[in-house]
Amino acid sequence: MIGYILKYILGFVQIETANKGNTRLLNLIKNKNISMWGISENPDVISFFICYRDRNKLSDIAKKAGCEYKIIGSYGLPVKITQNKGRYSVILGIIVFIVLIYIESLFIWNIRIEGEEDYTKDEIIEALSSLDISYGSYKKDIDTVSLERQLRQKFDDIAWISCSIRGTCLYIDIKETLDVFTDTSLDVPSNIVSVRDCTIYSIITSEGTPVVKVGDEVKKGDILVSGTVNLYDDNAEIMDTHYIPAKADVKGITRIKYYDSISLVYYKKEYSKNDKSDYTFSIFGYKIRPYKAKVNYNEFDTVSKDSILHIKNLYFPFGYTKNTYREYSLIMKEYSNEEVTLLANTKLKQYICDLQEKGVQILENNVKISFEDGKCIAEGDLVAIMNIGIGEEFDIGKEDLLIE
Amino acid sequence: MKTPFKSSCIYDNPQICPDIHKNSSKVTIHSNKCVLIENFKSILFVSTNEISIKTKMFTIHIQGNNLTIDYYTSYEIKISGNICNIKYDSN
Repeated sequence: MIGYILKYILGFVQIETANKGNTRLLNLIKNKNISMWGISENPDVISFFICYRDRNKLSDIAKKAGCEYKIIGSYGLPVKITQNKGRYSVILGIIVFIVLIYIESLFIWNIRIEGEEDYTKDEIIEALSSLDISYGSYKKDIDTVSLERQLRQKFDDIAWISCSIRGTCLYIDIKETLDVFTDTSLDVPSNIVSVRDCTIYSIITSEGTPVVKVGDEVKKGDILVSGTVNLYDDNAEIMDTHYIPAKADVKGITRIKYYDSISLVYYKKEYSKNDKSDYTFSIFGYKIRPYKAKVNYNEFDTVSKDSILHIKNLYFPFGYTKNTYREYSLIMKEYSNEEVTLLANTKLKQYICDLQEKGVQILENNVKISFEDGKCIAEGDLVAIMNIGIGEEFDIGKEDLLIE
Repeated sequence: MKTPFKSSCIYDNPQICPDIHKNSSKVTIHSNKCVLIENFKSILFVSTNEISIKTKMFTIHIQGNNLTIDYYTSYEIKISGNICNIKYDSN
């Protein structure tokens, strides 16, 4: 295999000569230190292979041996170069292409964000732009470790984030926090206050002085755990006071109001078979639209689908967007009572699911469904156990008055 | 390079390989399929049934069927095929 590759790189030719006992030619070629291989002998001819560079020496040798020879075929890289000698532009084009591909691979041409729920892709891309990271950024200027830290600081609700660069694509994987009601991450002296009216269900204090106990009724803004810690002497007098960031896990039983109304009359889109398309091409972020489709429909939806030219993770700064215009007509319809009740219940279940994912425990569901003025109204409250404490910084001078 | 020994007793010295002598050719045979000959002068005759190689001291006749020369360089020749007979004739 390696021998064949070497032969191809050096090039070789196939020689044919009449077989009149022509061992003299072979011996003379050998004496000139020219190697031969693949010597095949027929009654009429002998054919063999020699290196491409030795083909010019053959004429003198054949003259000396008194015989004629013929080059049947030439193979290998030198032959290809010789055949394409005048085509400098092709070779130049190949070199320029390779250089451009290499330069293109040094930049980011695609940003992929996965795992976002409450935050949209546009918000995250905007945050990246504020950090000078966008399409066309130089890869070596991006430090993924510090980028993760900066994004975590910008977005409070991110529990876990991973940034990596593969090819010319920046991948950002996000996991948002499940629990958004307890925030005890302050580093300055702070109290934990209630975010809503509730009855204390449980209080586990790790730092600070608890002000309430289980069963107490509290209002929104009431202090639950104080960041003021008094040190007493043997006579129960205050010896010293420390101000710390309070940390605790406080759960309360509260009522969450729920209201939803669905109109019985609704409009449904019915799509016809008519649609038109046009294309927008993007090159290095600039958009070019050769033509715009003439859309004469009264009502239509526009669906755009982006595609970026890529080979696996190697994205190129070229792409296109297909814009499709689909005609529809609005048909007025009316829900039946059963349908709208089912829809209202489905929405309520989804709301309860979302709360439960955030760590809220639902005790009672007091939501009632009624019909009024052509609408279905789901109204009521949910009795739930949830985290209700949030850190609040305090003024050290005023804090003493509040505690007393 | 001339050795300090007489040519007739060179093979008695176990520390020197026999083929270091400039007059001797080396024939390597692999089963009956392949023959490698080093240190030869020229080819005398080529056909599919017989190939004759001239060395300094002998003429080596290789007889068989479908004999071909795989390569022929200034230092080595390789012959393959169904080899039936290898004969030495003195020059």
